[in-house]
Amino acid sequence: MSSHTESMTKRSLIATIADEDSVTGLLLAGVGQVSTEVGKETNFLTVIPEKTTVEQIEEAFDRFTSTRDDIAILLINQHLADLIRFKVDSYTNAFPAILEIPSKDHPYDPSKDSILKKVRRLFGE
Amino acid sequence: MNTEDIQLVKIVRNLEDISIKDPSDEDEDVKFIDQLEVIIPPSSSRSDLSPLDLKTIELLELIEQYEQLINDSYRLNFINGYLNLSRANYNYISRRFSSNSFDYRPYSACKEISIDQDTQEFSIIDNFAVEKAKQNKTKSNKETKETKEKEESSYSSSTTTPKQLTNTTTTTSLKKRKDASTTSKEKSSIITEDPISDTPTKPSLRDPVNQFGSLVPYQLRQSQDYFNKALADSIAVINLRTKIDQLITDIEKLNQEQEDKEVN
Repeated sequence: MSSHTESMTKRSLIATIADEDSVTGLLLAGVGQVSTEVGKETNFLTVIPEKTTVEQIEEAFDRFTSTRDDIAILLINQHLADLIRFKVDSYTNAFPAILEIPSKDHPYDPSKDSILKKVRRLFGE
Repeated sequence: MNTEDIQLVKIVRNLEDISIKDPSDEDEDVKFIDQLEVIIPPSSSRSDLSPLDLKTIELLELIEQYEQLINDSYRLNFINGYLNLSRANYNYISRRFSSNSFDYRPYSACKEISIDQDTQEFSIIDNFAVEKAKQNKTKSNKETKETKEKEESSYSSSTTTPKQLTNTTTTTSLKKRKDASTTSKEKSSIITEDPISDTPTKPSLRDPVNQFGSLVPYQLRQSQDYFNKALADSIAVINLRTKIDQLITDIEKLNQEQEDKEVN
């Protein structure tokens, strides 16, 4: 139990996988951290269309959720989560928590919200 | 039909009626709402309900909160953040606020997360605001002490009259020098005793907007405000999602138990 609480207290950062504007906005909000430690250089990935590949997004997702032990929350644009939907949906760990955020060009879509899908399934829709 | 059934029919008809109501009819609506509370009891009188019904009501209340948050404040804060960022970029075409301007020199995060061990809820810790508040406190403490010392020294110098000064100027000047030296000694002793340092310390955390320059457009600061609010909303959304997820799991378990009982 003490190791679990220790691991929870270690997790303090907010990681981001998002497009340029979303990352800029979240860095303005103060979530960004840059360090010289190997494997923990940055806690954000800026996805540039036609430059960033799906494999890079997957690798960043694995790094922020499994490899690193200091991430408490991962914020990912909804349209980028769609590119790695299988990975996001099969992710079941409590920490880090994953939240799909809207982007400038892809506003929030309630039909893709996983929690509301679960609720509809529960009520038999 | 008993009275409860008649009331139920009236309430259903009222809910189905989409016509714009006369203000004088509002009293009837209030009556219907009171009657509605008889059928769906308020939270204080839900002791007769089964655990499954209680959990379902709790789930519905959380879903209402979630949808309200998602569709109003959360969505709007992100939209306004992007809008102001776009305005800042449009007004300053030569200097785009994007990944090319990010500061990749090592720095710590201004906002961190703390996880409550009992409830597993997330909350934001604004390290930059805390440090700024400390800085302001030390500054204000230092300023009040300096003003007090100035007042004390001005009071002591004003007590000597001009006649006394003409008679023994050297002794008074020596006294003043002595007084000055004693006050300076007192000052130094105060400084050494006081744990707060005299030199202004620079904060180790930087305002993230400054990575784009010291003079930034006001639209960028507005965008920062909206993204700060959007981040706070995101944490609230995550906490609600965790609770809803837990309730769904509990309801599914209770449903399964009920089905097993019925089968047996």
